[in-house]
Amino acid sequence: MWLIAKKEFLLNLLSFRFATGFILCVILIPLSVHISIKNYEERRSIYLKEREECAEQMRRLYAYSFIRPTILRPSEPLSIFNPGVESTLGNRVRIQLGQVPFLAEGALQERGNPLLASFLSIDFSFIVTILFSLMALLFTYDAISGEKERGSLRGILANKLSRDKLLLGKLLGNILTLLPIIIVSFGASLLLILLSRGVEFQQEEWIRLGGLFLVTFLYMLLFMLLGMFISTRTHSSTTSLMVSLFLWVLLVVVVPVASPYLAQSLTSITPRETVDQAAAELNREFRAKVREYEETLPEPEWDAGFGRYYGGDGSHLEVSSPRDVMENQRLLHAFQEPLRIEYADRKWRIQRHYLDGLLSQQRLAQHLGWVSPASIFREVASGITSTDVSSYLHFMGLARRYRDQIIGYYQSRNLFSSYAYFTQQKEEEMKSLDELIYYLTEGRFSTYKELSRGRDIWGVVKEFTRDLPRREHLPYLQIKDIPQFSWQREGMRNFLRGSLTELSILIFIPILLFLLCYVSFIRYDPR
Amino acid sequence: MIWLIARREILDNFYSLRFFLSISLAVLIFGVSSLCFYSQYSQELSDYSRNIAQEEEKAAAEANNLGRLALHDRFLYPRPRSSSFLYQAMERYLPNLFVYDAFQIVDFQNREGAGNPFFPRAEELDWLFIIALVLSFGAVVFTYNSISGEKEQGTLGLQLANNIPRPAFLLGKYLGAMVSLLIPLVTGMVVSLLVLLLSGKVEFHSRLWLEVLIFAGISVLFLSSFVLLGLFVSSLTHSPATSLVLLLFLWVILALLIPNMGGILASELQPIPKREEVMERVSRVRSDIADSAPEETWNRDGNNPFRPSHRLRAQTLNKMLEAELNIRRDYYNSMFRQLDFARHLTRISPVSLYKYSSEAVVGGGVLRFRGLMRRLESFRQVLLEFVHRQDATDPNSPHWINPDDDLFFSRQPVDYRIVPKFEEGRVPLSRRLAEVTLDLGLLILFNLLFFGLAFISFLRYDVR
Repeated sequence: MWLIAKKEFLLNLLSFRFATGFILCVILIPLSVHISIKNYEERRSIYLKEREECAEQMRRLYAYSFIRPTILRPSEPLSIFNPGVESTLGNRVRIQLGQVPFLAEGALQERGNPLLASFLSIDFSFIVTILFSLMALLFTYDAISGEKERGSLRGILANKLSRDKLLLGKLLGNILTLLPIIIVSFGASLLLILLSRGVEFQQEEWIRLGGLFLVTFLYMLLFMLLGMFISTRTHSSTTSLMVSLFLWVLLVVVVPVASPYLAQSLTSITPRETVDQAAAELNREFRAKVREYEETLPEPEWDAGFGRYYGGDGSHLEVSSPRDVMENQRLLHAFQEPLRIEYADRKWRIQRHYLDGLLSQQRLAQHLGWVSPASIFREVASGITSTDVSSYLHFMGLARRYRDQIIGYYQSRNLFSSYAYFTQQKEEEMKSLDELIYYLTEGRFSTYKELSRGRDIWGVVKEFTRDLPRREHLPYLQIKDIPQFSWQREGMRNFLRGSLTELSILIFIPILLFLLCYVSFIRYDPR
Repeated sequence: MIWLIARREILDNFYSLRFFLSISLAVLIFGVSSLCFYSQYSQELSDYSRNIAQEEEKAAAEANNLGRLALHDRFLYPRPRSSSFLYQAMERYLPNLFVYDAFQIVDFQNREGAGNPFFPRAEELDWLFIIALVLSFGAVVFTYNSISGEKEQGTLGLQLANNIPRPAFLLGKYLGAMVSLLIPLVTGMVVSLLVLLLSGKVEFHSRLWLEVLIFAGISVLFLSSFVLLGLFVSSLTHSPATSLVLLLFLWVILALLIPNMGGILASELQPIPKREEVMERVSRVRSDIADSAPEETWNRDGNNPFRPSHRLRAQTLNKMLEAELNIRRDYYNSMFRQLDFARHLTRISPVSLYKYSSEAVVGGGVLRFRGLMRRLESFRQVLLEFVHRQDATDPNSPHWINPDDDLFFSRQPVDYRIVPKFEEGRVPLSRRLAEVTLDLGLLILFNLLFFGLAFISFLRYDVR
């Protein structure tokens, strides 16, 4: 058996196909990895910059209502090998009371030239799916039929060599030929990664990379055995070549493109615009309810904010407004914020239904893709490199959990109904409108009624040099107990559970193919 | 003589496994592609109609105030193309939603909901995909042993010992391979057209038929380049196994790698500023103009539209917009230059040339985006002129038209029926084709080059 393997290995090593395939891999894989490393470094620098900006934003809080942290997912170092859907889906979520995290923002492709979206990306896993499978078939399509055609099969089997040993020898010889190509490809990629300063691999990344190596090997083995199986089913190398090549085009080129296309045709999803409209309708309803409630509140003498600032999603600051205005605002927030959360949940029910539709379409495409080892390889590679849909959903799940923590933080401290939600003034420090007018006009007017009598109020106030504190004069709040977001990548166990079927296919199909090969070869007529 | 060789080649191929596999695969994929297209196109049409109706309703509601009509954000949704079964031209991933008002094209973006975001980006299963990847592969498989195979079988020497000139032999082989390849192509196309015609959803008018015909012509030219490449490689080597390996790797490079490498190479070799950087520059320039404006410019007290400071404000706002548009125009131009550069880099592959030429034939992809930008810009100017004309008739307007505030110009209602409406229209086919003369020329050049190389190589070929 070893003799057969050695012969096969040496013959392959000196062949033109080995030289061409080897050269192509040695040029293309490092080139693609080099480009991916640069992309990763860029994504990482954007992430670090944004993380700093978000942290800064959380340090500049004037009131509790401004706690609207933005959370970010760092780029995966292994996306260098397989970008998956990482670049098409976002990595940034702003935690809001009025919106349950739905779809992340900040997709990388939105930042660059949108016209370059007309080109697809070339990455390590793309090259592996194309080149390694083609090489595996080219090395094995004539393993048996070629020997028969040359007349050497009869000679070999006439000796005391069992058929299973011949088959195993052939397989081993081909593995020995192609394994160095995988090793060199991974080695060159690793060398580039180690030489680059911006990529750091932790222990888990090394384990995952080992997994990717194994999966690549299994993928190649599958195509080798497919080639050998075809070879044992035919008696001419030309026939086995044709069948192998057309199967390759179908499995590697057509099915990965056809499966999402078919899935989109077979299932229909609620249009995104309809979902957005329904959400907008709920927003309108929410605002109407708030307005309705606002009308029930006692009207302040003069509803003007002395230093009033609004941010989105209910974030609001009153610097030194009159006591009655402050009270109104407190009552309004106490009503408005729980209602905002309730409406966010109602919107989320519609949005989740839409997401479920998208995901079931994606799962259908995935299942249709199970007929193609190339689709399976890419799925598993995305899972290993944490760049798949499941990793994204894990991030969004964490974002939703974090939002719940923030809401819990507000509720446990009764912040929605407190003044601290929107102002830094203590209740006892608040002044009535008349007191404020007296202070501002340096005692010239002692009541609002007196001041407002036929005058341009702001014009009069401006005549005086006294001023109330503005936002810029306020210190930032020092809140230490705000829940912090920590990103935890989906564990390997989850990946194994999620990709069990794909992994099983990658493991069992080669075994099945080997058995089929064996049965077929036992019955093969070598004459 | 040529026809005799071609006929023999066709008959040989006709009974071969590769022919059977090619035609089966072509019919299967063309059929599936049309069925999928039919259902997706129906969905796109209904989405489009709904979006357009809502847009109309919104615009009509804004017509009760000329200022609001001029300032409110309008959305332009490109119409789904009936010819996208030929080539979808990556429109799903390109910007396919334009936001504009009478003063500017505010933004263009990839419409959320234009596709499933959980799918990795991939080609579409259209005619171009089938021809560029499946049938070009067929061309390789049909020709890899045209010369080297005959030599290995020993038939080449015998044939050339007769009175057959080598050019005639080569041409015969070429014609034979082309006809063998055209049979699956035409069969697949006919199956696909039948599915679409029977579905009744796609309106086949004369323009679409013409596009199909021209697309088919370019497809033949494209396949011919791969057949000639196959003949060239086959006449370079003396063993079909060697020519096959060489051809397959060449095919992977030309069909799969080069057409997709343009994007990453162009971003690397000719980088352009990031969107955020451009927007930062815009806001810097805007605030510089705002800061240098006279102090009373920003005085907003009172609601009197004739207040003199509003005039200053309107002038400054117009100046700010002009400065912003200049920066954005430069940025868009750099985007187009980067795209052109990326395309130039990929023009060494017939697949890329085929894609770019087909894009013009179907009037889609980046060419359509460019055209839409141009037409939308012209329309916007028409709309602004309309606003100026209407505003001039209003005695209660200070006529200080500006891109930010409708307080300083007419707020009278206008008759929505006379408001200019955007018509997407279509660029005539002749003009579209004129834009890709280079690509078509290069595709022809590739044919001539491969033929010349095959010819020279075969003339020097040792048939023994």
